[in-house]
Amino acid sequence: MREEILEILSGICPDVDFETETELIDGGVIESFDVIQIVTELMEHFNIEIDADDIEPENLNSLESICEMVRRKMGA
Amino acid sequence: MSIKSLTFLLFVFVVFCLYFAVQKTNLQKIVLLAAGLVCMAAMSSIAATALVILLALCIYGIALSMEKLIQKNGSAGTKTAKNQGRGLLLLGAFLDIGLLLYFKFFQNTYVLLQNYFATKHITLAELVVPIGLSYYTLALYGYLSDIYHKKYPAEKSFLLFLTYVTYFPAIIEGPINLYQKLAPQFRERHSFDGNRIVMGLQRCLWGYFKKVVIADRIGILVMGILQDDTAVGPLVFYAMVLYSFQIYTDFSGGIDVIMGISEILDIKLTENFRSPLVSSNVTEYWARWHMSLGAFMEKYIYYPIALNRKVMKISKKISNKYLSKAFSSALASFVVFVIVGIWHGTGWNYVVYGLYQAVFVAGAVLLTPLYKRMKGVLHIDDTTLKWRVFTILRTFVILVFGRILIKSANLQQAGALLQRMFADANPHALFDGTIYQFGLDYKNVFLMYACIALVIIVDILHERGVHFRELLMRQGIVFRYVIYYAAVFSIIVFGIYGPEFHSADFIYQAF
Repeated sequence: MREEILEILSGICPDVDFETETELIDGGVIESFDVIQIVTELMEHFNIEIDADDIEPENLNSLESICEMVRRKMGA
Repeated sequence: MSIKSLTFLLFVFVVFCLYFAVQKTNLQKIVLLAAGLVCMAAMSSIAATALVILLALCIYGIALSMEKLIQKNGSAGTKTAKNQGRGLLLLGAFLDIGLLLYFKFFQNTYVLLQNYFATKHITLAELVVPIGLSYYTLALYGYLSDIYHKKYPAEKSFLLFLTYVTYFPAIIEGPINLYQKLAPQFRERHSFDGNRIVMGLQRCLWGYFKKVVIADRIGILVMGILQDDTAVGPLVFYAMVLYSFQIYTDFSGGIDVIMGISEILDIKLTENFRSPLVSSNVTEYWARWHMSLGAFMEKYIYYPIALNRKVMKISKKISNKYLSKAFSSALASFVVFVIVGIWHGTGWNYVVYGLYQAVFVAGAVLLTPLYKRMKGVLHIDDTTLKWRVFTILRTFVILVFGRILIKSANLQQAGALLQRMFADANPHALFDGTIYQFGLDYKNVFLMYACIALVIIVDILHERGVHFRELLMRQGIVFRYVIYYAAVFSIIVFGIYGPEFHSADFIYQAF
C-alpha cells in the first residue's frame, strides 16, 4: 500500500521528496490545491471516505502519516 | 486608548509588572483577563465589552452542551443526537457570525432607529462595535466547529475561555488565534526571562517604526494626492503603489507590536506575514499576507467546500480531465475570496474586491495547463531570477489595482479613481517636484523612499533566512544599545504625531 500511495503522491507533486519530508502541511510544502488532488485520488484508489475534518497536519504531514490515515479509513 | 498613545504604553508596562510579579498560573491568567477587559472597554465601550462577555458565555455553553450530547451518545451517535449537535453548531454560528454581520451590515438600521427615537425625544444608547470583533468571532466559529468534530475537549473553565477571547494584544488587530494554539498557554506559568523580553521589545520597536515613521508618513502623501482631483494619471498610480506599502507597513507594524508584547508575556501567536512583497502570484500572496485569516479560511471554508460530496459529484460530470480535477478547488477558492472581500468591509466594492482576487486565484488553478503550454511555446525558463522579478512585479501591480476597490468608499468612487488614473499619461509630475505639494516636502519624501527600501530589503533577507533579532542579540552590548537608541530616537524624531500630521488608527483595526 505504501508504494501505491507514494506513486499517487509523486504523480501529483513530482518535485517533493515524500520519503524524507515530514512537514508537508506545516512546512507549506504542498498547497491546498495539491491536498485536494491527493485526497481525491486516495479516495478513488482505495475506495475510502476522507472528510474535510480529516485534513489536519497530523494526518498529512508525511508519507507515513498519510499511510496511517488510509489504513485507518480502510479499517473503518 | 490608541496603541500609539502613552496611556497604552503605560497600561502595557503595568500589565507586565503585575504579570511577572504574580508567579502563579491562575493569577497570571487573571491579570491577562483583567487587561483584556480594561483594554476592550477603553478601546470600544463598557457595553461593547459586556456584549463580548455574553457572546463568549453563549459559545462556551453551546460547546459544553454539544460535547455532552456527543459523550452521551457514544462515538457512533444516533441520528437524532447528530441532528441536535448540528442544531447547536448552527445556533452558535448564528449568534457568533450573526453578531459580526450585524455590526458589518445592519448597524445603520440601529442609527436610523436612534434618529427616529431622537425625534420623539428618546435617546437610545450608542452601539459601539466591540474592538477586534472580526478576529475573535472567526476564532470562536472555529472552536465550535472543532468541538462538533470532536477534535479536542470543550473548555471547562469559563475564566480561561474568556481570557482566550479577550487576550488583549490580539483584540487590537488580530491575528486570528485558534483556540487549540492559544488557550493551552494560559494554563502554563510564564517566568521572567531577560533575553526573551529584550527580543520582544525589539519586535515592538520595529513595529512602531513601521507604523509611526513609515505607514503614517506614506499616508499623508497618499491622502494628499487622492483627495486632490487635479492629480491625475501616473500620479494616482504612484499614490496607489504607495498605499500598498502603507497598508503593509501599517498592518504588519501593528502585528509586530502585538507579537512583541506577546513574546514578552511568553505567549506564542501564529505569525501573520511571511514577506508578502516577494510573492510571485496572487495565490502565493494570500499564503503570505494575513496568514491567520488564510489558515482559517482554508480549514473552515475551503476544504469543507472542495471535499463536499455534492461538489465532487458535479466535478466528476465534467468531461475535461484536468478541469474535472480542478473544479472543486476553483469553486472553493471563489467562495473563500468572496468571503474574504466581505470580511474586509461592507459595500459592493468589497464584494468586487473579493471577486477580483478570486478570479486570479481560481483562474490560476483552472488555467495551469494553458500557462504551462504557453511557457513552453515562448521558451520561458521559470527558474531564472529575471522571471521571478517579473512575476513579483506583475503580482504587485495586480494587487495595486485591486486596492483601488478598498481605498474607495464605494464602487462609483473606485470607478472614478480608475478613470482618474488613466486620464493622463504624462509621467512628468512624478519628477518635476509636483509630488512635494501634497503634504510631504522633499526631505520627508526622501526619508519615505529610504524607509520603503529598508522594508523591501528586510523582507528579501527574511525570505533568505536572515533573522535580524537573533543576529543583533549576538552583537556586543555597545552596538546593540546604539541600535536600540537609534530606533527609539528615530521613532520619536521621525514619527508622525501632532494635530497637523494626524496619525491614523491602524487600518486593520477597523476590520
